[in-house]
Amino acid sequence: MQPILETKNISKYFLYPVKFQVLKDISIQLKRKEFVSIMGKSGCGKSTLLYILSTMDTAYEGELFIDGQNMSQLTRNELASIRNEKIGFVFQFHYLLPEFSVLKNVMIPALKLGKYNIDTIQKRALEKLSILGIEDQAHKKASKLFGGQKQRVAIARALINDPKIIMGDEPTGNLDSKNAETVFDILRKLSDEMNMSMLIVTHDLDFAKRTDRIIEMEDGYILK
Amino acid sequence: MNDIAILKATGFTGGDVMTIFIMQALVIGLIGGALGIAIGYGVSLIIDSVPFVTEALPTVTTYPINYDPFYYVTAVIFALVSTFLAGYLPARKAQKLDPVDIIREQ
Repeated sequence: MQPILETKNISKYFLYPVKFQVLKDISIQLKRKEFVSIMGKSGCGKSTLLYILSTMDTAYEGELFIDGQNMSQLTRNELASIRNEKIGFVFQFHYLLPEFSVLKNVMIPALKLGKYNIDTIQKRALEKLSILGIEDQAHKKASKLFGGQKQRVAIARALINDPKIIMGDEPTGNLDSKNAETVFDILRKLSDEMNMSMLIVTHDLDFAKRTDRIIEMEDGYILK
Repeated sequence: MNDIAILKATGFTGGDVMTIFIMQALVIGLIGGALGIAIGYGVSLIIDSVPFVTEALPTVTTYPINYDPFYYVTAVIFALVSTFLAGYLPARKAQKLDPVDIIREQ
């Protein structure tokens, strides 16, 4: 079966302060339903790679295919709709809209997609929150939650449009070990049961060991 | 700028972000302008009732106030223009950037 995500010889340069090649000929594949972690020291280019794979960075050489479609030729607006529909992204620092309720935060990407009416979207958002075990927080302001809860809201938001891939930039990096464990278990369950692929950048070896495959990076190269 | 990055990361286009920011700016401008006029007019009425007697102007008994509508119109326009620019300029800048550029700037 065709991989959900594939890169062909992706390279990237930072131009300031001096020209520096941060990614060197990266060719990787992510299978459907696969749970992959990307590991490496700070500065090895792993976050940079993840931002390219998530279509949030378009300044690179090489080709990126998501769900068989070549991303390198699409316009910014087309990429935005790919992110909306096919990719759920979880940042290290939750990045919720602080003045909106938890429920609204989860609903926002679905309101953009416009596939369902608002009542259905609300119902689906509550379902996602209950998968994450925080449906009781739905009507609180996002800024009133604790770190671990906020990160779960961010995952619920990433799930709202039933994406093909969840990408995370150290989603447990800012959490204590108990909350990190919970977040890992949730991601594991989602990839096993909901037909989603996971691509998670992490520093945490215990986390990475429990994923299906580890992509190790050093100085802009893939080691294995 | 953080909000712009969140919206773009979750699939909103530069144009969507622009619309949201301009709408928000105009609502703030309108509310601000209306409040400004109401409070300004209220304070003017109070000042208008303050006794002000001078031999140079025998017809004047209270503090003179100019209620020319022109000043009120100017105030609302000023409120709208300044909030519009405050919303439009960052949104226009963000429209041309990849989401990651906004994230990296922080």
